[in-house]
Amino acid sequence: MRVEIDAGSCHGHQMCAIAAPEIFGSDEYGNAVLLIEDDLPAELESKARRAENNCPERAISIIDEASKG
Amino acid sequence: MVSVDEIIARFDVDDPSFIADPYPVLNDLREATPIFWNERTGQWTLTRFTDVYETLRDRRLGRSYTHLYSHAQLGRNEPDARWSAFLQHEQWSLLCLEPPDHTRIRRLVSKVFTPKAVTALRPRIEGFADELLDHCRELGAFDLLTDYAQPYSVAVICSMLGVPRSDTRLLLDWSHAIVKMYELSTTDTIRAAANTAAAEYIQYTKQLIAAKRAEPDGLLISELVRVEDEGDVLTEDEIVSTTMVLVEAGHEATVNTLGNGMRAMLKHEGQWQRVVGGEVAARVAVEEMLRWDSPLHLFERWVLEDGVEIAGQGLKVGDEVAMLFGAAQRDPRRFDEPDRFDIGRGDTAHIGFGGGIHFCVGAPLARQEIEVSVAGLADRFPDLKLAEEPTYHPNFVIRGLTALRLER
Repeated sequence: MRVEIDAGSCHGHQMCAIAAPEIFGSDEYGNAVLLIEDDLPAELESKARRAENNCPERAISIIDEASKG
Repeated sequence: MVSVDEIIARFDVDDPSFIADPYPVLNDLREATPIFWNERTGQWTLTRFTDVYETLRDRRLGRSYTHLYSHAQLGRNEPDARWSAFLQHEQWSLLCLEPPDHTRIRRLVSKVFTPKAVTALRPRIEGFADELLDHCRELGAFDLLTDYAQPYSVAVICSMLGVPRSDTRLLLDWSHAIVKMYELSTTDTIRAAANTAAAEYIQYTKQLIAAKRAEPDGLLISELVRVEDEGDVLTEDEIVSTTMVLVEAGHEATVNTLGNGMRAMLKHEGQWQRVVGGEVAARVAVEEMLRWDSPLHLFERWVLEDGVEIAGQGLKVGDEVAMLFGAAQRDPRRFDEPDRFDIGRGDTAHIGFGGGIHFCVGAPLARQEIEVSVAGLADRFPDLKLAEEPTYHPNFVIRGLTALRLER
């Protein structure tokens, strides 16, 4: 499982950085920066979901690659 | 069988019994229909969580249409010139702007509301809370709103803006008068009072801007005066509107969340003890206080493009859409047992702070202010209870109590 940010949608609310600071940082304008671009460790998956649900812009996608086998 | 029209007729913001407890009507409305036309206000009105959630994020709708269309083009009346000061005060408010102006101004303002900036403010915020709550303890019985929440939240926002604390009473009175303009049902007396307050407020803020220009203090107003962003300087009118919306939003909503939330806490047996006993952290409690009895019950958007359809209803450019936050926050499709006040729910993905580009810029600050307050109350008043049954202001949109008298 990994995370993607749609930079065009992000408006710098930084809710992801609050929900999951291990996964999301922010640039000088507050826009989200992904700190972990590879597969997420299992213990961060629920935090990633929380960030996805809390994004005011729906700019965060969680890509579940498990189904690809 | 009750018809949808009969339920809509009960959605009457001038009915005191509706204001006292709007939730039975809001729940019936939401279950009867996801969207209805409100004849009295000329708004398409949304009731369900998912539609509200999606609409907040839909950039085909905006908080304003005047950046694209004239009032006449959309068949709407020109604003009433008698209330020109009120109109001027909100003209450059972030709440009424769309990109690119919104993006430019929000970027400047949001710097002081980032999680990092807000965390740095925590000791000062705790200092305000401690001072006021210690005073409440000396009083024994106190009004949580006037003895605590109002002076507290105004002190916090004014300290960030660089407004002298001695002027906070003025700002409170102006703000109270102005925000009544956002109700669905207003009178000329209310409008005139709001307009006078806005005129005084503008005058005051202009003097403050001049003072900051002469003597910068590094706080927000001073920084807005100073800042040049990509070669762009904020105009005085923009600074005036920006400052005022931050004061209004920065305390009305915080005060009402504390009042409505603590009322709910103390009316639901055992919930306060869960916080006092440490089972539920204050930080977690904040979210249910925001959800269960929303401080903001209605928020509007205008349709800016053709082809928008919400909940099966086709809408046209210029249509006004009203979102009923109180109905959406109790939607059983989204929340388990939505009418149950469960202080440990801890669901942060509600719509209490809105969504999309107008998502509350002060959300991290508001959460921290309320958390600090709940923790401070729990430390000092483990046996807190209502001293009398509180009543709500006769307003629908901005929902808050007239007082919340507490005793220990």
